[in-house]
Amino acid sequence: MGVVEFGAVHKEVCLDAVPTARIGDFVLVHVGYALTLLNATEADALLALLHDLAAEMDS
Amino acid sequence: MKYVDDYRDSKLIASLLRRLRDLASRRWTLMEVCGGQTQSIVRYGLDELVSEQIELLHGPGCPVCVTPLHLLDAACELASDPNVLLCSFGDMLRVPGSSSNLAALKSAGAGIRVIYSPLDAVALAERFPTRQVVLFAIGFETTAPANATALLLAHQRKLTNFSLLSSMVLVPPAVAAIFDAPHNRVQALLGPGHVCSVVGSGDYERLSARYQVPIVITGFEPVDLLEGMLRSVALLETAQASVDIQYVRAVKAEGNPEARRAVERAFEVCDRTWRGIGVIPASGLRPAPAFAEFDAEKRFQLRVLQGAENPACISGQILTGAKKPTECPAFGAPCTPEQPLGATMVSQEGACAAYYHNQRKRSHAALVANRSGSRVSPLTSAPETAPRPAAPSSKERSL
Repeated sequence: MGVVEFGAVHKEVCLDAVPTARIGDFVLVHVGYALTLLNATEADALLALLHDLAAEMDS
Repeated sequence: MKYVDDYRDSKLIASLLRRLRDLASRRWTLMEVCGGQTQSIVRYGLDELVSEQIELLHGPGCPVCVTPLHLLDAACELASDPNVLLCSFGDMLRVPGSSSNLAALKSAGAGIRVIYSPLDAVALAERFPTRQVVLFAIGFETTAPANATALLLAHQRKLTNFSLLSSMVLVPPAVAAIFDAPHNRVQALLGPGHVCSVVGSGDYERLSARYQVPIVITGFEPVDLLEGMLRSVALLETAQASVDIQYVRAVKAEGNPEARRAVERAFEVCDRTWRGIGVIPASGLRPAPAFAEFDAEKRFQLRVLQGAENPACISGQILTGAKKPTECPAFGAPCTPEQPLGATMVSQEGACAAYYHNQRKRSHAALVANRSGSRVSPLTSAPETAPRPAAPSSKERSL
C-alpha cells in the first residue's frame, strides 16, 4: 500500500501491480488499486505534438 | 491535476475538430466501448461537436448497467440476511431489482455497506468476524485486479467470513457479440483505455483482424477522445483495419503483467448473463476452483431467481448502441435518475443518466438526426417537441 495524492485528497492505494513505483511517480488508480504507472515521456511527447499541430494550423 | 487538465485544453480541442473536419470525406459511425468514455463524451458535448463527421454509438461498458437482474436480486436476498454484510459500490444501490433495490433495503436497516475499494470489504470482514461479508464484485477487466487482490488477501489471512458475489464481465466477447449482430453499424471502435492498461492490446488486435474494424484504444479526457476519433477516421479513410493506441500514457501493448497475474490466479472465465443483452459465452469471471470457498453463489447456495424487467425499459438496445437514450419513449418521463426504470438511468456511466444529467432533450436528438449535411444551428433554437424532463438538482449534478 502507498499514499496517492489526488489534487488535495490523499488516499491509501494498493500498489501491488506497480512494483517499480517511486515517490513522485504518477499512477492510474481505479477503486483503490493502481492499474499502471503513467508514462510521463509518452504523455509529454503526445501533448507537444498536439500543440505543434495546433500552432501549425493557426499560422 | 497533471495529465488531466492538459487534456482539456480548449485550443487543442479546436485544432483537433478542425483536423477532423478536414479529414472526413463522409460521415462515419464509431462506437465508444466504455461507460466512462460515454460520460465524458456527453458531458463535454463531443458527440454534438463532431456530429457532421461522426455518429457516436454508445457501447455496453457500464458495469452497473450490465449486472444481471438475477444477481442483483441475489444481492438483495443476501443483504436481507441479518448475518450478512453486503459490500457494494454506491452506484449499484439504486439500480432497480425485480422487486426492490439495495438502497431501499439499506433504508429499512439491511446490512449494506458502500465501499470505495474491494479491499475495504476485506477490512470489514476482519473487523466483523461474526458477520458474513459479501463483496458484490462487479466490473470489467479494470476492476478485476482489485477484486482478485481482495480475494487473495482474504485467502492469505485465512478469512472464513469473506466471499464474492461475482458479476465481473469481459469486454472482448461483448464487442464480438455487437459485431456479430445482423444489423451492426459500427465501422470503428474507440477501445477502452483503462481496460487495456491492464490487459494490453492483444485481444483488440484479434478483434480488429477478425472483423476488419479499426480500433483505437483511447483515453477519457476530451482531447484523448477527439484524438481517438481523429485517428479512427484516419484509419477508416485509408481502409486500414488495424489497432492504434491513443492512450499511450497508460497503455502498453502487453498491459500490466502483475495485474493480469492476480486476475489469472484468482478467477476463471465463465459464461455471463448481461442485463438487457442476454448470455454471452465466456464473457465473465468467477472465483477459480482453488478458491471456490470464496464464491458467494456456492457458499450461500443461491437460487437463480427469474425476475422480470420493466417492459418499458429498452436498456438492451441502449447498451448495444442500437438506440440512443433520447429515442426511448420513457426517457425523462417517467424514467429519471430519481425513479429509474432501468440500470442505464442510474449509473453515472450509463448512457441514459449521462444524457439526463447533461440536459439532453429528445428535441436535441431530433435536431442532430435532421441536420446531417447542414451546418449546426444553435441548440437554443431547437423546437420543443417533447416535454422537458425536470432539471436535476444541483446536488445530483455534483455527485
